Amino acid sequence: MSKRIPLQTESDLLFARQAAREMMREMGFGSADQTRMATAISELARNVLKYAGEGTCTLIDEQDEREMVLRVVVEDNGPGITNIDQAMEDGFTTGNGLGAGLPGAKRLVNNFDIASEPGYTKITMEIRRHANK
Amino acid sequence: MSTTVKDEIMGIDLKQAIPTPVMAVDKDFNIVFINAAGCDWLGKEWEEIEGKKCYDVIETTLCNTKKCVARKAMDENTKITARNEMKCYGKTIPVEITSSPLKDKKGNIIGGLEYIVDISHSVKMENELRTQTQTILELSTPVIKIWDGVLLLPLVGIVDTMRAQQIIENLLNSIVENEAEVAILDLSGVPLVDTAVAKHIIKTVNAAKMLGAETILTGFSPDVAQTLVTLGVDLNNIITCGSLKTGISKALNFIGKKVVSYEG
Repeated sequence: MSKRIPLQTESDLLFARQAAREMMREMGFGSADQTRMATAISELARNVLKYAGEGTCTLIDEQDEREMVLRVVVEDNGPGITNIDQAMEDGFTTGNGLGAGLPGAKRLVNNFDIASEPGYTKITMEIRRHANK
Repeated sequence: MSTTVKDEIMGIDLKQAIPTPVMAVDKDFNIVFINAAGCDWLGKEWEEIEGKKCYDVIETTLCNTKKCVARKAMDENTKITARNEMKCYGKTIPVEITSSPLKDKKGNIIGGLEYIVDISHSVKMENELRTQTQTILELSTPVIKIWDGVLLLPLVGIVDTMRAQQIIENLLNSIVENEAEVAILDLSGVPLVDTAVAKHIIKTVNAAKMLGAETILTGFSPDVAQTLVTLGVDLNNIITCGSLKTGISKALNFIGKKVVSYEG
């Protein structure tokens, strides 16, 4: 199952956060995991709105017998991240933020991957837990 | 099911019977087929439509643009769905159009098939949801005076950029008006604190300090506390308390008061 949410305004960001929470709750994730992912989505979606103007957030339920997995893909067609290593450093910001967004989001999730070029940026995140069955 | 009923159903032209518009075009966007529901929506007879370009007949907002679903489906050889608007019984309504490529026996793409679904209901629901979210965001942020020199600002709901600005202004004005020494910012009702919200909180605390008031943050949920630490947000210079109760007692301490049991 997957859900694609367009990110154009701040209320879309709230909608994406809420949708992720709901999907994770249905899958069986606890509230701490829900908050981790919702916060990580918040960080990335804010970046999309700030630097690219708009983008999309796709929530994908990848669970199997052994593991519950939520994969989230955040994409945009903005200017891209010039220096990914620098962007992943704590305290680095080009936009007057705290500079904790990207590296913080990475720490909040189990898997984190960035691919960026001018005109297309794709960030993939996953939170996984052993299934309780 | 009796074979006669089955035969009878299979004898019906099901393409025509589908209760939502279905249309097929060739590679040059000439309409090759449109079903009865399609003709109904457009208020036209098949004879009027046959052989015309689809964009001249259905006139949607994406027609003749790069985002035309039929064009994309044929170019990219895949199923494409997009939201759009088109005329239905003389009224423009929101629709979702799905298109997939049509291929000949050799697999060459020779046209596109589209079906159109009325999504007015879901769009209405989404808009309502947006308005409600907006209303919640716009709920005022009351500053309550709980003792001489002690203010309480309970935050409920989502703190976004606009609301954060409102919170800072409200709190700072109230600090000046009430000559407050301590302000309690209670976050019990805030479900999620990301770096943007944290930045606003830090700004508020620093600005209050300039006016001579200490700010105590209370009511972080365990989930939020854990997330903030993982994010690497530094709240070291800020006084925080687990509950509003301990926050109030600390605030009273600041002004040299304390709550004692009354023994008569």
